[in-house]
Amino acid sequence: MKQTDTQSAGSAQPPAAGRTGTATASRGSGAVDGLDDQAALSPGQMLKQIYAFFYNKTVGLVLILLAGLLGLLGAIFPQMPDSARVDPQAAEQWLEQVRPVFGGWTGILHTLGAFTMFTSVPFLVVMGLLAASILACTVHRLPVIWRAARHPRTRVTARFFDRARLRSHFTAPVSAADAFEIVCADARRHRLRVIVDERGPGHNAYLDRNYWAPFGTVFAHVAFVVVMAGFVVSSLTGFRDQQFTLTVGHPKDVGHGTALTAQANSFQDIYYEDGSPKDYVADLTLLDAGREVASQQVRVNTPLSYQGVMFHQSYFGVSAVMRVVDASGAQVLHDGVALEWTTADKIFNYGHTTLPDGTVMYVVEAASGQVGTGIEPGQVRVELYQGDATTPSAEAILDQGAPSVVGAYTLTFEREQQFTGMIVRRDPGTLIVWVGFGLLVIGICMTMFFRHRRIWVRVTEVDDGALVQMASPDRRDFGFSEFFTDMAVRLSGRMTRHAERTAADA
Amino acid sequence: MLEYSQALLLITTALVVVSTIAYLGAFFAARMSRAAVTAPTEGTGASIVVDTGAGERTVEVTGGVQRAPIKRFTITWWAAKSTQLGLLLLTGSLIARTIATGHPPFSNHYEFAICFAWGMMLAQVVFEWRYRVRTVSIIVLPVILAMLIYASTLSYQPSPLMPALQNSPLLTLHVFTASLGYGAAVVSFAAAIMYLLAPHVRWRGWPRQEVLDDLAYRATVVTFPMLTLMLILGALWGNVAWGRYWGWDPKETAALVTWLIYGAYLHARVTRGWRGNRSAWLLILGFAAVLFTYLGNLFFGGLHSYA
Repeated sequence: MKQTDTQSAGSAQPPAAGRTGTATASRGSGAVDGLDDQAALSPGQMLKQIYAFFYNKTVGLVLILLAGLLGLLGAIFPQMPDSARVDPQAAEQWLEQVRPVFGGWTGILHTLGAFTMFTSVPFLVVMGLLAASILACTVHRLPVIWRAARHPRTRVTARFFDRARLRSHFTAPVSAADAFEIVCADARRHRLRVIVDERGPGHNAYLDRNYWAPFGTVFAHVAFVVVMAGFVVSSLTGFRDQQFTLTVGHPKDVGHGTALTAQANSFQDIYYEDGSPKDYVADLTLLDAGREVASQQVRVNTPLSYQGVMFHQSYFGVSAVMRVVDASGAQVLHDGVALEWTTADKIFNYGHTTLPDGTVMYVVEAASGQVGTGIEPGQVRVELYQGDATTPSAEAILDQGAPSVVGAYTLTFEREQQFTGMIVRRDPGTLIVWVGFGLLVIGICMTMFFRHRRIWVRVTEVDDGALVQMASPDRRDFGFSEFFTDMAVRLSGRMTRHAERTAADA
Repeated sequence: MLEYSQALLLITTALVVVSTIAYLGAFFAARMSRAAVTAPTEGTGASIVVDTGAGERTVEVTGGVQRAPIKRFTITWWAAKSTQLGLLLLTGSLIARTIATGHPPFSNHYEFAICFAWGMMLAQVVFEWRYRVRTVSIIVLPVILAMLIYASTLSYQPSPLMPALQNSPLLTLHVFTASLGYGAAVVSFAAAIMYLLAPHVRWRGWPRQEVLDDLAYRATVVTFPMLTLMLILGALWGNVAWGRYWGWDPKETAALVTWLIYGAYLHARVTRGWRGNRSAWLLILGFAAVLFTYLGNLFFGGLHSYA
C-alpha cells in the first residue's frame, strides 16, 4: 500500500518538475527527495565538480585567510618544542609550565592543537587544501594565459576606441597606409609586439609588451606548492639531531645511517665586555669510515657540510669526562657527559648518557656560584637508573680522579672538559625549498615589475588625412600612461614630418 | 659619532613634527577656504599640441594620469621638503650609527625601530614624488612620528652583535628588505584609511577613492615582493645559522601571516576584482599584522628576541 502511495505521489508531480522523479519512482528504486537526481553524476563529472571547487577564487581566498588565521594563532600561543611533542612525559611537563598562564584552558587548548599548531590536523588540512586550490587554479588558468599570450584578441569594436580607460586620437596629413606603417615601425622600435589584423575597417593592429609576464603568476603559484612539498620532504626524510654534543678530544659517531665520526679538536668561546657571547668556534674534524674527510672551524654562521650532512654550531658548555668499567673489568664508556641541562631552581647542572646495557647514568654538578649543595667543586654526583625507573638504583658523589664502585660499575670522574653542542642534519627538502623560492622570486618579479601592456590601434582614412585611434583597457599607471601619451605625441610628429618629406620629394 | 647619530635623529623627529603640523594646517586651511568641493571624475582628457615646425597638431589623450604641477613655496611644498630633509638626516643618522658601532644598524629593537621609520619616510617621499598624492601624509607622518618617539624611549646604546647576527650580507639584506616592505605598507595603510574616510570627508584636496585605491595597490606592489624577499633571505640565513630554513619562530610566523594577508589582498584584487571597502580593510589588517610582527617579539620572545 505504501509503495502504491509513493508511485501515485510521484506520478502526480507536475510534468516539468517531476519527470525524472516519476520515472525513477516508477522503477521502484529511486528516492523521492531528489537525491538520486542530484547524485546522478558520473565519476568524471564528480571530479570536475571537485576541480571546479578548488579553482574557485573565493575558495582560494578563504583558504589563504584561514592559513593566515591559524598561523596567527600559532604565533600567539607558545608552541611545544619538537622534543616535548614526541615524548608524552616531556609534553606533560611542558604543559605544566604554561598552565599558570592558561589555567583551566590549558587542556582544552592542547586538545584543539593550539600548542602544536603547525603539526595539528586543522593546519595540515588547510595547507593541503590550499596546495590543491593553488594547483587547480594554476592548471585552470594556464590555458587562458597561453591563449591571451599567443593568440590575443586583435579585433575590437569602434566603441572600444571611445570608451577604453586610456585612449587617444589625432589626425595626420598622410595616407592611412603610411600612417599605419609608421605606427607599426614605431611600435617595433619600442619593443612592442605587433600583430596586424587584416579584417578592417581601416588598418588595425594589436600592440603589446611583456606578453609573457602573466606566466609569472604560474611560477609564483607553482612555487608555493613546491615550497610546501619541500616542507613535507624535510619532515619525512633525512634526519635532524639538535643535541649532538661533542666533548673536546672525544670522538662520537654521528649515526643516522652515516659512517661518519665527528671530533672536536678544540673549542673556544669569546665574550664581550658585558659578558655576552661574541663568538664560539669548534675545530671540527670529520671521519668517514675512519678516514679524515673534512676539517673546519665551525661557527654559528659557518657550518661544516659533507655530502649533504651539515654540522651547525649551536650551543656549548661543560662536560664531565667519565670512565665506566663494568664488573668484568671491561671499559664500557670513556666519554664526556655534557652537563647541558639546568634544574628549574638553577642550582644544579646535569647531563645523562645511556650505557650499553640500557642503564641511564645521570651526572650532576653544582651550578656556577652555588654553594652548600652537597656537591663541592671538583665533585659530581652520579645516579644510575634502570629502564623507566624514577628512583635511582645506585648513586654516589665522586671526587675527581678517584674511581668508585657505584652499582655494578666502577666510575671515575676524570675531569671537566668543554663540549660543543651541534645541530647535525641531512635535509633533502632544503634543495626543493630553494627551487621553490627561486620560482617565487621569478614569478613575483615577472608579475609585479613586467606588467603586460596592450594597445589597440586603428587607422582610417578621413578627409584631411588619416585618423589614428589608440586605446588600452589597462589600469591607471603613471609609467604606462606616460608611455601611451608619449607614443601618441611621437606618432603625430613623425607622421607630420613624413608628410613634409613626401611633399618636398614631390 | 653616536652623539651625531642621536642629534640627527632628534632633528629628524622635529622635522617630522613640523611637516605633520604643516600638512594638517594646509588641509584645515583648505577645508575652511572652500568646503564640499566635488572631486573631478575619471576620464579627464588632455589636449597636447604638437609643434611640428610646419604648423601645430592636437593629440587628444583621455584617461591618462596626469601629475599635478608642483606649486613652489606653498605650505605643502615646505612640508614635503621638510619630510625629504628629514629622510636625508635620518639616513645620515643611520650611517653615523653604522660608523660608530662598526655594523649596520639592524641588531636590536631600537635600531630596527629607526630602520622602520626610515623605510616609512622613504616610501612617503617616493610615493609623494611619484604620484603627487600628498594627502596621505596626514596619516603616514603621525605613524612615522610615533615610531620615532617610540625609538626615543628605547636605549640607544649599541649592543654587541651576538654570533648569529654576525652575517653582515644576509642581515643587511634581510632587514633592508623588511624596512622597505614595511615602509611601503604604511602608505597602503594610509591610503586604505583615507579610502574608507573619503565618503565622510568633503575637504578640498581629499583624493578621489579611485586614486587612493590605486595608490594602495601600488604600495602593496612594493610591499609584497619586499616581504617575499625578506622571508626568503631570512630562510637562507636561518638555514645557515640555525640549521633550518623555517622554524615557526613567533616572529617569522607573524611575518608569514603578514605575507599571506598581502597575498590575499593581491589575489582578491587581481582575480576577484576586489576594490573598495573590502580591499581597504584587508590592507588595514595587513598593517596591523606588520605592527604585530614588529612588536610581537616583545611579548613572545623566540629567536628574533633581539629585534
